[in-house]
Amino acid sequence: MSHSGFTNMGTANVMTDPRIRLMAQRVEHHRAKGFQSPEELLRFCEGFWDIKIPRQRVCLDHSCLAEYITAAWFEDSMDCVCWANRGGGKTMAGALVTWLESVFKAACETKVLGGSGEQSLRMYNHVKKFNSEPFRHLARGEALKTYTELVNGSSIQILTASTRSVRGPHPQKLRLDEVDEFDDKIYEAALLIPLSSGGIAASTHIYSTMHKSYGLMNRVIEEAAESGFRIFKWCILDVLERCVDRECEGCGLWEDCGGKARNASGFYPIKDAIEHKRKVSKDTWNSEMLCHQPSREGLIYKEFDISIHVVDFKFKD
Amino acid sequence: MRDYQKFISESNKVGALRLVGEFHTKLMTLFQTTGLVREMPKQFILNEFNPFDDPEFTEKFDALIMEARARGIKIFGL
Repeated sequence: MSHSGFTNMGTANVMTDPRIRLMAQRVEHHRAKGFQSPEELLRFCEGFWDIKIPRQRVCLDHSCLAEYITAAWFEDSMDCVCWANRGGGKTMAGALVTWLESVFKAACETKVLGGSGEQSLRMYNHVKKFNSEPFRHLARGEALKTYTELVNGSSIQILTASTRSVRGPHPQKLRLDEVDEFDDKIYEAALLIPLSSGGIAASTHIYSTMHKSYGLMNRVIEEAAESGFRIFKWCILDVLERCVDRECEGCGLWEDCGGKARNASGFYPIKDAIEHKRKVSKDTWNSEMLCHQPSREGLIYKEFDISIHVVDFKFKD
Repeated sequence: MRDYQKFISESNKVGALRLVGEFHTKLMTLFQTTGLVREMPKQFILNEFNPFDDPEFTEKFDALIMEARARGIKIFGL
């Protein structure tokens, strides 16, 4: 029987309420036909979950969130690293891609490992939000904090990164959230988790800020080309809401923005960005919000710069 | 016909089976009396009409949803 036949509707709501039934029909349409274009996918996400997905690159050398979501869904890049600012929507994007793949790709198994228990919980909360009423008929059993199973054979496991959680079964998809908080050995072991099966290719997606000098995220980015990871990098300016009526003169963000926010299409409130910039140190702002370089705070020689302080010198024999 | 198993309560399962049985009998009678079909089909596939198969409808639906979102109107079920 075709997908559009509502063969698995167990909940009374979907059966009886015409409004939810209509939304569920939309879900069933895409389960049967997929998404034909990035635009169709993004429109679906924005309409269904009321999320703002920035589609415009504000900084020329950065990516936008929409680029990552569409590349992940259409599998243009199997292994991705998302290096983005705090509050830049990394965890949300990870949860969104995970949910979309689980619902619309049958038998797609995902393991999400968070850098901390709290981070994993944040990912779960996003997934819970995406598992709204029109999707309820697809759940097999109850959606739990650590494990959600769907009737199409897909599953989502959300755990905290540990030596135990990286062992066990090998799903096709691996998501590592806030990798800068990972232990090196756990990270290495986690990379061996994803395995292709059932026609679904293995993939690894990594999300993190880069807040530690010489931390794991720094290494991931430096080795990205060699490891085959595609880097998606966005900063606060790329996720900033559009600046419409604010005067540039005297604006607290002018130094970084330079008027670029006029072309932004994101969700980060400008007022909050100005407040945050005022409160944190320049170093923290540059590393965690503008994604310039990792913070050097806490280092003994924080002014040390390889390009300045290391020179080629030949010792005499 | 196997779809009856997907209902949760037993009474719904019985109801679904009865409905399929009645439908089957009526259809067979109709075919036999009119003589439209010489060979009985081995399987019926019943697909529910899905309005989203029409791209124009989907486009209008999305536009409406986005307008409601822009105005801050709560959309039931979403």
